[in-house]
Amino acid sequence: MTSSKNCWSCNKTIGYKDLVCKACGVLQKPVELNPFDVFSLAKKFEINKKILEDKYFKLQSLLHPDKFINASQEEKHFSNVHTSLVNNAFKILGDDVSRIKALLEYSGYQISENESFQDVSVLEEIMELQNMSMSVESESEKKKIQSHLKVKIKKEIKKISQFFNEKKYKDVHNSCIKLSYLQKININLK
Amino acid sequence: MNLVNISEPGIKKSSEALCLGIDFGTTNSVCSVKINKKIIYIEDFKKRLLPSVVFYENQKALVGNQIKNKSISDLIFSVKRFFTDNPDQIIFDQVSAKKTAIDVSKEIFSYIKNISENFLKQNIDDCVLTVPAYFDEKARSGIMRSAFLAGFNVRRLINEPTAAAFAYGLEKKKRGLFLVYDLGGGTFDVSLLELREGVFRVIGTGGDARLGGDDFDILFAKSILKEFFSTNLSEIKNDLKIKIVKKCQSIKENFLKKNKILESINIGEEERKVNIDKELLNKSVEEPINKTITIVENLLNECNVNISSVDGLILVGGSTRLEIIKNKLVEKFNINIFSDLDPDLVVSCGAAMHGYELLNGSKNLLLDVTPLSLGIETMGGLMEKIIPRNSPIPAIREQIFTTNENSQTSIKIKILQGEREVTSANNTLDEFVLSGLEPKPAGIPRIKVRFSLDVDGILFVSAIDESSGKENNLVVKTNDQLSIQEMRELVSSSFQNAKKDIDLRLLIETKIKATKLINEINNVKPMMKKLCSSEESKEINNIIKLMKVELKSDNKDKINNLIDDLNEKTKNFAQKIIDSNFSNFVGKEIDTMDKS
Ligand SMILES: [Zn+2]
Repeated sequence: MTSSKNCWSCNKTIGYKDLVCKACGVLQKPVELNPFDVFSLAKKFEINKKILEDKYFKLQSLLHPDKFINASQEEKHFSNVHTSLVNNAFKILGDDVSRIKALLEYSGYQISENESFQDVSVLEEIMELQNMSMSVESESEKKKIQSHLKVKIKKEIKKISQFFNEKKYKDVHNSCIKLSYLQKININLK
Repeated sequence: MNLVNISEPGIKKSSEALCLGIDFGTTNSVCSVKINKKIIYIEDFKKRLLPSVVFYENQKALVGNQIKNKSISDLIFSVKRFFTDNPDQIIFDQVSAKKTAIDVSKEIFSYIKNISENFLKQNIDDCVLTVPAYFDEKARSGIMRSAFLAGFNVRRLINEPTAAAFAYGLEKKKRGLFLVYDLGGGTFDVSLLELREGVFRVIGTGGDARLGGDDFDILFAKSILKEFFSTNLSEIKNDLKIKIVKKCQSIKENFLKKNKILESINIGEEERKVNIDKELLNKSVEEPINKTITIVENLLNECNVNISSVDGLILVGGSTRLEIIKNKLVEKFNINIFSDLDPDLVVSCGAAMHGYELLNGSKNLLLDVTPLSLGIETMGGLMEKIIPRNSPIPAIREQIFTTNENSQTSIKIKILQGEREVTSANNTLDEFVLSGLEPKPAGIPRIKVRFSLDVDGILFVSAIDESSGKENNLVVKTNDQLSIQEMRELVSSSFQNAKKDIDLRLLIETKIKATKLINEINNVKPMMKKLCSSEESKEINNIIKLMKVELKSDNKDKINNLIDDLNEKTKNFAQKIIDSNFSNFVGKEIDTMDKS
């Protein structure tokens, strides 16, 4: 990867990932970055949401269009694109399923379009949970399923973490599909 | 202007940049500005609330508290309500003049500009304008255009509940998770915000752009007529109906202090003194209030937030003064309610604070979201969401689409806003045709559609045929008004004079409209031969020739007439283009390309 570029405004040589030119202070053209690189975070599954959020606000304070209200058209445009990229990256990293997918993609694993279950028993398990959640009648019943789901989600996340460590990307993907269904059922329950 | 009363004469000159904070309301508008660390309200005849009412008197518009002793039926009320429908619709139609919602609002904005300049004793163009969070993009750009035509340089469009929360955050040092319950004259918004040191972030927003305090007045009037006169409000003549509703509004306001009111009411044939109990008011507005509570609950669910973790609920909008609202909210949510900043003024105050920080710099950050999902129509009349609701703005998303018929050379792109799956249940923002695709088998072309939603909530859409690299080949665009992009360029760039001169703005708008129309027609000339009779083609070409001549002159009315002529003459043709051979739907999505 290139490590330097020229400032579009003053033409001085600056770092490739620099957001603002060190020489003239002008906002740079956005470069395409992996969501982890947007926040300079290690590319791993475990994430500290507090740190992510702090970094998000810090970047926003630097890049948000409100800070470029009197700037040139170019800078205004760059600010708009930068902020959108930061918003998208924040969303991807903040959500378990999309963060897993981003990490799989980065690891070179091809995510197939077809998100079906390889394992019939998993499919049956999901179907059963789905049916249970659809036929909830009382608040206590709902609470019961919710705590049941919570345990399952936690378990799946633990598995995923381990699969990542062992570089078992296919297993990560399968668990990730299961996780996304568990979360969907959980959300629909509310 | 000697009509204007100046309450605080002799403002100290300073180096700070001034920016008005304008809350353009359905019933009342409020304008304020931050000077020397203080928020000052611009008064209209010594009143901070300027009724959003316009009266046309021989071409001249009277606005707000200027209007005295006029028949109520000659006044134009609640113009803001038309924006969610169509800001370009004619709402005042008389022999003397035809006025659209944008024209009428422009009068209010001009008036606000005028009284502000008189008060500040200086020219002022910059403003931050507030809109209901739940306003769609058509309504937002309509309001923006209207203020632009009045001579304003709108530095930001911010959501009303967000502005209010900003004011609470700065003024009252509120920190934590807060709901803002904003019931205006014509709209209801609720936003969930996280307020922390230096960051004011909207997490989610919900609402109803057609539910407001005005509806409460009508419901109350209905109940009174039914209870005491056994009559339906709908059976009453329009003029009288407005009078009765206004009367009920004032009774409603008096219930803030009393529980029983003796009032004489005139319904035409009879006038009677009636003794009204507060319970009657409470009962008649119960349904819409319950509706707002459901919207609040849905928002909390959607944001995955439990009410017990919310630190308080902030009341905004004059209509929230109704006691029953507070009672119901406490009963339902058991939450601390805040209304210590005047619910009528707090939105404008927040806008003025934000405007000041924008122009003079600040460490504070205001982060907002889009209230409604944006997408395009795909096969079978379904909406494919590209930017989902409650996404932080600005947001840029791209998605690849393909054709669904062999040798398809053009596609129609229909831009939608809303939450429903079926296109027809959502709001169509615009339509355009991307033509000149290379004929290829179905499913092969890759058309990249890019949605860019900026921080004002204004949307820009472009489409590229990736194989030919043809960008934005917008052949037929239904919406031919001055686009926001062009408007912004006008304000910020070369047309310095246009900033001052409204007529010049209107002329430029007209010229852009005309040039755009000519370009659009030139783009489809090859098809004209196929789809039009030679007679029709000739007529169209003649008007274009005339138009080109007029474009060199500065005769706005003539150009406008030619635009109307040309639109009329090409109406059939434009419809044929959309209907003919082209397959109407963009094919199914083949993959998602969320840029990250
Ligand atoms: Zn530089």
